[in-house]
Amino acid sequence: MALVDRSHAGLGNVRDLDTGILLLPFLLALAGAGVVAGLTMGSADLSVPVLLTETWLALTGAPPQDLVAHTVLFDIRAPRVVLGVFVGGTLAVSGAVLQALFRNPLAEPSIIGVSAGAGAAAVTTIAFGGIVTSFSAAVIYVMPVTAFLGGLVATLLVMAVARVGGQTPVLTMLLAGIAVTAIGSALMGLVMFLSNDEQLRAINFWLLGSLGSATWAAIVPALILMVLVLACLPMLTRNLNLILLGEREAASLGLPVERFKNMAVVLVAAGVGAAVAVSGMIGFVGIVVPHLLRLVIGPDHRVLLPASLLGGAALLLWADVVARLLIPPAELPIGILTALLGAPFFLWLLRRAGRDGSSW
Amino acid sequence: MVMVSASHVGVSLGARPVLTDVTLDVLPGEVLVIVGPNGAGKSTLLRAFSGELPVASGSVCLGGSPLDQMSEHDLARKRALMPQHASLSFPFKVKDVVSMGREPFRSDGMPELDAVAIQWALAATDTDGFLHRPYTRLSGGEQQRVQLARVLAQTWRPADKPEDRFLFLDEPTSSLDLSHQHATLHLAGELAKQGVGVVAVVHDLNLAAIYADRVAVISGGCLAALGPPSDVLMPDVIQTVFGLTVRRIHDGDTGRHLILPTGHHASMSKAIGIAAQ
Repeated sequence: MALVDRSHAGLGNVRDLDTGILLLPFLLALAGAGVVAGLTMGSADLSVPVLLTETWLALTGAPPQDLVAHTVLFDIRAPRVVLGVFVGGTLAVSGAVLQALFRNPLAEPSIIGVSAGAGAAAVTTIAFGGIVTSFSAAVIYVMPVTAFLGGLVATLLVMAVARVGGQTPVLTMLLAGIAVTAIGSALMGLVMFLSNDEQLRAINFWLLGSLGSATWAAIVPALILMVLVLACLPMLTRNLNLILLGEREAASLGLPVERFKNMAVVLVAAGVGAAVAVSGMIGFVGIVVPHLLRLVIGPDHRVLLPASLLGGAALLLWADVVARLLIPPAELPIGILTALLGAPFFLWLLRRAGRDGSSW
Repeated sequence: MVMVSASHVGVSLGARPVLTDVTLDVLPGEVLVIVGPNGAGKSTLLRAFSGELPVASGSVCLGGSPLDQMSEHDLARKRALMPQHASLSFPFKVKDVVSMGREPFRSDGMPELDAVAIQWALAATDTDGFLHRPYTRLSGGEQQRVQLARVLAQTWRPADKPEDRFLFLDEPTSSLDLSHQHATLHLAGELAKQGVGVVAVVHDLNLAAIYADRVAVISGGCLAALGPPSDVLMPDVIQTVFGLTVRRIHDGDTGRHLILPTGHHASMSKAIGIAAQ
């Protein structure tokens, strides 16, 4: 244990980010390919040259060569693809942030009740928002806000209940999540019981989770909220690393822990609330993406959060393409697809955690 | 001189009073070792000293200002705290964990100083051999040395800018092998020479006897004895506080006194006697 510096060689490397950062271009390419696939594939197949031509014409302000292709691209598929990018990215990033706040890799919006809280609020808004605001077009603006508030209440409830001495053991977290989800589901059931046929159909379609209803007008309010949330992320990354180190350690390193956690929870609830409001219940993106990425690049949020953003976008874009192509001309609701893929993955994680004997 | 001074400090955890009326100053440049039985309030005292736990009565001040009126950031630049149990369960690389010790100084915008601090902390704790390994894959003792490196990085200052600062170590040697135990406390002494006030909770009285400038004996939430080890670590004090009969042996070669237990813990040996009957 020499007190003097042994060597200054390689000093520059000490704080460098690791090779995990090389994964970012790959994820960007994957998401980019998902954008192209999302724009070209579907019930009306458009070729990539058509996509490029129409995009060029639209950008230069020239009239479209093929009016049908133009409409399909820019009025039907483009909002859907944009929604896929932001909902996927927001859900995956929210998962990563929640996992850090709970210091537990099994936290996820749909598991710990955030989605159910946002969902209950959203369903209530669908059913009764039209009455209160007197014209139903306002619902699309009100829903992201009510869903945000519902998600916020659910998150705060789970955090308060599941914490035991500064830690959140997986058991209390999952149990609190089950209870909060049950409350959310019961409220949704109650609203559906009180709804008429028309409201029921709207609620049911929304519940399954889909990007299909996306139109520019319908998604803009939620998009603004998600962009704001994602823009705040660079401020969180280092502090999330400190939280992973331990709340006591983070506090002794100068982080006002409670204030930071409250701020992060509000951001997550806002992001998830906005995502849920426009796309319904799309589960498990928030656990699959950060978890797989953490295996490759480690837990450093300076890389993990941007990677989750790109990975979540890529996953949802490709899932949406598959959902469109699987049983044409019908579209499988994307929430069914992510749950069918994500839930077994979650079970595998639980099993693995048990086998390792780790203290999740 | 900036010092950490606790005056008439009482701390309660829940409804249970853990510390009552402890008055104790920590000076820059000294190694103060806290000893005492399990549950006596050693960790609680350390946590109150470092500003982590609010005090129920009395006050803890650093350089004259009460800790609870200082910002987390200011406090983090003046003292580092190594908790007894680390709760990190995510696979950060060793160098990443140690780098986090420099977080309070990031606002200075001096990454080259941070790099020197990190490199020094890794070398000083003998952890520079595995700086790229995931923390979660290390043994308990290796993890403890990495946590020590983290607080050392936080404590480091350039040689031309020595500042009064404090390092609180809660059982830093509990998982370490013999040579690393001694190396850790030797390091504490070296840091004290550079103006750091080091407070360490240690169970091994012989380690305390060798490396402490002063020893504070905590018993039942009160300060039972305070002073140089040669005055405090006496058989009668140890008998009273720990319920253990010891002999104090003088080693002619080193001039040091060693504590050698000759009896057993009073109440536990009584229980064993009952069980044997």
